[in-house]
Amino acid sequence: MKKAGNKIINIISVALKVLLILFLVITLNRIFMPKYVHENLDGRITQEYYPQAKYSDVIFVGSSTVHSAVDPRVLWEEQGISSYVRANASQTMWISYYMIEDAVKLRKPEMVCLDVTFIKYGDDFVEEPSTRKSLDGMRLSSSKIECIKASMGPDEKMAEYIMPLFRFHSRWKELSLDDFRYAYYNKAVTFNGYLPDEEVDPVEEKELVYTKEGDTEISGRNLYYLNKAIELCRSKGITVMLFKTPAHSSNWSTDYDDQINSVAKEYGLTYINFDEYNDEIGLDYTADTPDKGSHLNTSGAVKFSSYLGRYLKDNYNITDRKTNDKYIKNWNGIIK
Amino acid sequence: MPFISVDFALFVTAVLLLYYIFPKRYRWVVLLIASYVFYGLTGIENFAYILTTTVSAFLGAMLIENKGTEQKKYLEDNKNKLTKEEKKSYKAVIKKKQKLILTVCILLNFGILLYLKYIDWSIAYINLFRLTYMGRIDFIPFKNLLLPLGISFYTFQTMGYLIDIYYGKYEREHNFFRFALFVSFFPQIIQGPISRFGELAGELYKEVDFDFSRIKSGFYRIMWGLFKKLVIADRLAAYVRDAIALRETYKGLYILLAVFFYSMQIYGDFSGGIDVALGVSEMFGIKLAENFNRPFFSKSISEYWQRWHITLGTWFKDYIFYPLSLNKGIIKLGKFVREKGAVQFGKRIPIYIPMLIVWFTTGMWHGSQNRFVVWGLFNFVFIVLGTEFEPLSNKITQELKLNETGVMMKTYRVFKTFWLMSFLRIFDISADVPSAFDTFVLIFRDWGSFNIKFVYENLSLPQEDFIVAVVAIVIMFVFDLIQRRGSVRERIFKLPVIFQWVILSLLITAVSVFGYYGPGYDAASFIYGAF
Amino acid sequence: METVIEILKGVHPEVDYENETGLIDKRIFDSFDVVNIVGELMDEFDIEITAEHMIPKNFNSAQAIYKLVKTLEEE
Repeated sequence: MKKAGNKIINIISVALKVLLILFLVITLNRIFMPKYVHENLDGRITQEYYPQAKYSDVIFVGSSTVHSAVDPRVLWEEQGISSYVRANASQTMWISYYMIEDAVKLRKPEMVCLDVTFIKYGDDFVEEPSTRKSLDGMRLSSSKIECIKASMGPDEKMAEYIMPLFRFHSRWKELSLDDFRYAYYNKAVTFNGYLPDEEVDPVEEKELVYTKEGDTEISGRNLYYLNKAIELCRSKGITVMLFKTPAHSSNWSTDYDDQINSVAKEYGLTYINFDEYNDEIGLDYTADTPDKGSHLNTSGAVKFSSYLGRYLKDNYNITDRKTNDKYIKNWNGIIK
Repeated sequence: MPFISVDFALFVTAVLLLYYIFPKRYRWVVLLIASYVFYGLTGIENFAYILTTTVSAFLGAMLIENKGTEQKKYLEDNKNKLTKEEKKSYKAVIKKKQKLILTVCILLNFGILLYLKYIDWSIAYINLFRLTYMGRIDFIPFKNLLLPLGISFYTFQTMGYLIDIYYGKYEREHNFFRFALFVSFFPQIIQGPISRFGELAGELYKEVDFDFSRIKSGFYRIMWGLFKKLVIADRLAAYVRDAIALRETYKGLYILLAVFFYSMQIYGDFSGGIDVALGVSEMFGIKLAENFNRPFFSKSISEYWQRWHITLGTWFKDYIFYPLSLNKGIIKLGKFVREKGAVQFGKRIPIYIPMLIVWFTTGMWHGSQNRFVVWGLFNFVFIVLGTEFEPLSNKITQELKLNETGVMMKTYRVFKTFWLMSFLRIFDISADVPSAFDTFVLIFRDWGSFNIKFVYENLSLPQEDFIVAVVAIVIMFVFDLIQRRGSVRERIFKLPVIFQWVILSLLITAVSVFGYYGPGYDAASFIYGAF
Repeated sequence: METVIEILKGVHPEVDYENETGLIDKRIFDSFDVVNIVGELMDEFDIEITAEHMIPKNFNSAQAIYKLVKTLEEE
């Protein structure tokens, strides 16, 4: 009897030791990861999703054009749609796929709106800092591991993603008080993934013409993950819409629209290139962009979000949460 | 799989789990499989080499033993028939046969090693010869052979075993697979220590109970090894490289600093790696031979060599130095010279000639370039000088009434030995022999021009890294000082738990944060821009 | 036994050979000393000492050395 007791005490003490070391290692990881609290806020989008997961009926997925154009607050106030924007800078189609997979594991949304702007980049697109910002905030799961494998450049290592400390330890030279202060910081700095930008930097040429030429075929991996994302949602009974966020960028081709349309047709989905609805939306690229048309600023975002909200309300069956106290409380907290 | 990598850490963890899950009797099998998996990961084709060594040594030992049993049986059977003389000559015949077996095995194994290591070196000289004396420019191409992982270490270890069997020091291992583990044991195969069968065999095959304190103790040792390697050695490497490369621009103290840092680098790197190897083994309950005994506290060069890379030193002593110095030819030569009247000289022959050969070989072990041979010969010369002048220096200290055992005298000797060895290492960091001398001469130039700013800005050791390196070196020095009075870990484990945690946390933090590894961090690239 | 001790005294006169049992372990003899001693032993007793006998156990005390000599003389 006593012997068994000792054994249990032994196991507990070893477990405690392991936990203590784990705590130390996790804390080191958190201290050394870049903070993205005062600048580069896009680095927080992924992690801030989790507390909002249970309120996310609609999830917008895509690249930076989405997080500067879709303001979930507008969708809430005008249509009672509760949504989150899982879109990071340079978020490739494969990261987008795993963003959906990760979200679905936590809570099944009613609808996924997948932005395809980034489909114009090739299979070998790698931009380490962006991959980092998208993924370092993701909780550890098989989706994250698979996503890392799909996104890593040739010089990167899996271990450096699982333990960001291995990647960021040389920041010891530039560590500031903020790194300690925000190590366990949980307050949201984005508005459900939306990052407002007040700047105005108008376009020079008012007319939008797509000029991308040459290879305008969607590459294999892009197409593969686009299909995979649609199929995942279908198998879970999640409504899917494909869209291209409006932007005043000539780096696009109607060839892409045609190819995406044929994918959409195959699955019986809708694809909308919102560039074609500029006038209806009321976008004016002499005032609504912070960077000569690449993204929308706050005034552009309000216009687009309002239009998008009406479009979703008219065409899809999304639950109005304006009558649900829990949702109201949550949204009051975000908007405040 | 590099020794110091996350992959290796995961590998060790997996093997540890399997090792302690398996019944005690079969644990060595887990180690054997793990060792071969580890070895196979470096390239399947390397199996050919290690298997050749394993099989040839196993067969060699078996044949030598068979001859021994044959002799025993014959002598037993004919106990009363044989005269003493007949017995003696029979024994000599058997010994001769055993010697033949041993020689064949040694030639085969060292032949492979020498061929792989020196073929390109030889080709270079053949080409040079053909060019100079025959005017031929059709150079023989280099073979560019890759050395199989750890081949020097396992060849030395296995041949040591065979020689010991030949001497009859212990019984051979009769189980081929157990023997294969002795040759291939993964923690020590990359960089040693070179174990002796008598010591390692008992450790490898003994059946140990799981004991958490072993894991803990091994973990501390691994972390300490990583500290020395990652925080000190790898941080200093770039400075040493740059300062030596730019020696014409940065003379004097820059080079002296590089020489000092190189000593710290090589010690941190090598002894740190050994700490990892011993720490990993300790987790399996296997004690490997120590390879370093605070070498920088040696008071003479010969003492230094008893404390640096100990297992290689004793290997050379037991398998080259003694056999040569007890060789009949050399003893006769010494006697002959003594009888001719040169008594002192004759006495030294059986010592210095084998020692010269040992140092020549040690030089070759370190690398296939001339500078290593020259480095070995310098060691020899310094040791001879040290021995020959010992009476004189003793006399001087007596005359000056210096306290031979006092702290001052000891410190002076330690200081002198450290710098002598450090200067010799210039051969290690130079491209060839002339540039090594060149570097040495440049140390004494332009001391006034030293400006620490250039170390920070032009020689790859930024101020923050310089500070970390110096602090870490001081910690290593203090650690080695404490170690003089016994195991530092045992002392730590006697401290109150809270202090143990503080020390462990600091160690983990120091290694993971201040370790010099991975890609650097460039904040600018993280600033949102492109898309 | 006396002859052995005499030879040893020739190398290190200051050691108490009657009682010292750590000649090698305590590094009183280095390898030079051992080779010198072995050379003299071989001369004096007409025996053959080879590398296989060069283990610390055989040289740690005067008694051990004497034992080694006796064994080899019998062969």
